[in-house]
Amino acid sequence: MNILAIDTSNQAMSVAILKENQISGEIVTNIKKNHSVRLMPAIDQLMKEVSITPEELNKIVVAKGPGSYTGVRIGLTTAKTMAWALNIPVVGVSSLEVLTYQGQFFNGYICPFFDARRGRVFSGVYRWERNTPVPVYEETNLPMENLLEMLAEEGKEVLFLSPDISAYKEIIRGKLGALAHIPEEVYHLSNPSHLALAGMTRKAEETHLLEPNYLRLAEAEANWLKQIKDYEQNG
Amino acid sequence: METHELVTHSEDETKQAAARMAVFLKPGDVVTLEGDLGAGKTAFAKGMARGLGVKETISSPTFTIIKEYEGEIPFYHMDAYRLEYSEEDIGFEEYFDGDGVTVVEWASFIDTFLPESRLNIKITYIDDHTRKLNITATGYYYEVVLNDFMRYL
Repeated sequence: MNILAIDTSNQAMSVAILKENQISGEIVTNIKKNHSVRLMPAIDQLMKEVSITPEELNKIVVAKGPGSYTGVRIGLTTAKTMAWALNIPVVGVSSLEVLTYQGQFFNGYICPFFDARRGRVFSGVYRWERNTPVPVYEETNLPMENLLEMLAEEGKEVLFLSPDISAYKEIIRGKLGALAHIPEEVYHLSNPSHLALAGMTRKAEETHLLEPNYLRLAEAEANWLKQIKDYEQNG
Repeated sequence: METHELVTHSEDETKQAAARMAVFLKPGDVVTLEGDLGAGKTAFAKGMARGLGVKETISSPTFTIIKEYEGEIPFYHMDAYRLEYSEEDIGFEEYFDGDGVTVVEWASFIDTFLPESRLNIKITYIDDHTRKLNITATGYYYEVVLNDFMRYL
């Protein structure tokens, strides 16, 4: 089985091709440049390098967010378009879940997160059981402080993984002390081969029904925030 | 809050004023446009794009909601008209905090998501050629921008 994996859901852009469970190739860049201009050329280049034609692909796996809304849309649109045109299945995997794979040998809670602005993060808590990440807390969009308070109450060892880790190191250590484990920078980027692996055995959804996993604020909460804002503005 | 009024006598003059205003803007700035259909919101946006060094032709983003253009500074052109009854966040902050200047038409429809500091422009139809522009700046940064713009006009 030949799998193409695509992740443009955050600043990093990554593409991988797996042939029969083996990594054939990966392209990863972690720079602030437009995914929409660079994704197709990267896919094209990688496919040529590993000598695979579009017709030889059997499945596409895409990181469906959370992360950058624009980034998520670029990855999903590209993946769905290719899957539909080639008539092959496409599978979406949570971007947080993919990042969890970087901590798969950690015996405790794994907390991947992405910055969601204004002190909020997209996050979930997982633990690794029998080669799969099992959710402990559902993925959601919440203030980092709340997340850390929840984790502090649990009193378990937690591995934090995030491309935005540098902005949060201090607050994490402040709240969790020695329970917090923060690896070196290079562990905080998702790996596109992990994405391929995560989607390999997962059943494909109907191509047109695959949706982004934005994890936006629930509508009720958005309305509530609007009420507060209106109140602050108009008294 | 700082408000100024400006009267233009042709579409070209509106565009020119917008192009001049663009010179005072930097990445991450947000300008909202209000005005009835035909008041000249899109003309203003076109002028602004020219001022930012955009070479491409600007067309209405009513259908796509957001269009991005490359310029000396990137230009994000939004039209919130189709979002009137939606509370949906489509990732506005990525644009408002982004690397370009954002112009939002029908901005009141996405009030919840707009930054509090911004430049607000209300265009009113006076006659076939004449338009009145009420420009309001909220926040110190935009007050300075607006005063500079008025001084060099």
